Amino acid sequence: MTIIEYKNKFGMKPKIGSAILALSLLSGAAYAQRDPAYQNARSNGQIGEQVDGYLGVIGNQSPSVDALTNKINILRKQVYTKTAASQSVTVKTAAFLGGCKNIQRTVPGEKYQAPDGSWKTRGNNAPELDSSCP
Amino acid sequence: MKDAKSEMVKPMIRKKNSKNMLSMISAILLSSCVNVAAPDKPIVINLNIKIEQEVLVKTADAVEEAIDENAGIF
Repeated sequence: MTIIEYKNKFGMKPKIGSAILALSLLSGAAYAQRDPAYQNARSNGQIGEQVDGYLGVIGNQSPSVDALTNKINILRKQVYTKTAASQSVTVKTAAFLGGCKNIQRTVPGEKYQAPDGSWKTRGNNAPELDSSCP
Repeated sequence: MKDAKSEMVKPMIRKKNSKNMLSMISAILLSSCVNVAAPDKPIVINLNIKIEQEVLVKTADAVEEAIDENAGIF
């Protein structure tokens, strides 16, 4: 359904419709920034989002996947450290909050870690989040 | 007449005595009541939970922003 149709049928709705469209375009652009190798490893279920805010390798994967995961985790730690300092919280807390968000943002088919530590495949329903997630 | 007077006095004394007895009994009863003593430790109401939750939500927003700015590694 196009936005024009929305406009004609619901009057007030187009604003919401275009906002959703703009958001989806934004998030689409954000995901496009991922390195293709990283995106593939995510989609293939080789790596998943951990509760602690970092990526985890699921099972035995190629050294290149291990290296990629390590590289990204180091970069993530930098981001968490910066945010932690600005918010006066520990890096662990910032990373954990990031984990809550990262798990929420997984798309169906991607892997994430459940609060019990097991790996789950994201379905269409909301993921299992740690009870401490806000 | 004298006897009658003493007869009159006697019940009065008895009445007074019984009043004393009553107050004594009630005093004993009261003293044996359950004592409610103030706790020696101060009562602490913990408001940290709510404050922590607010901080967590605020921090979570900041983390989300940082994630969006570094979308390539998230």
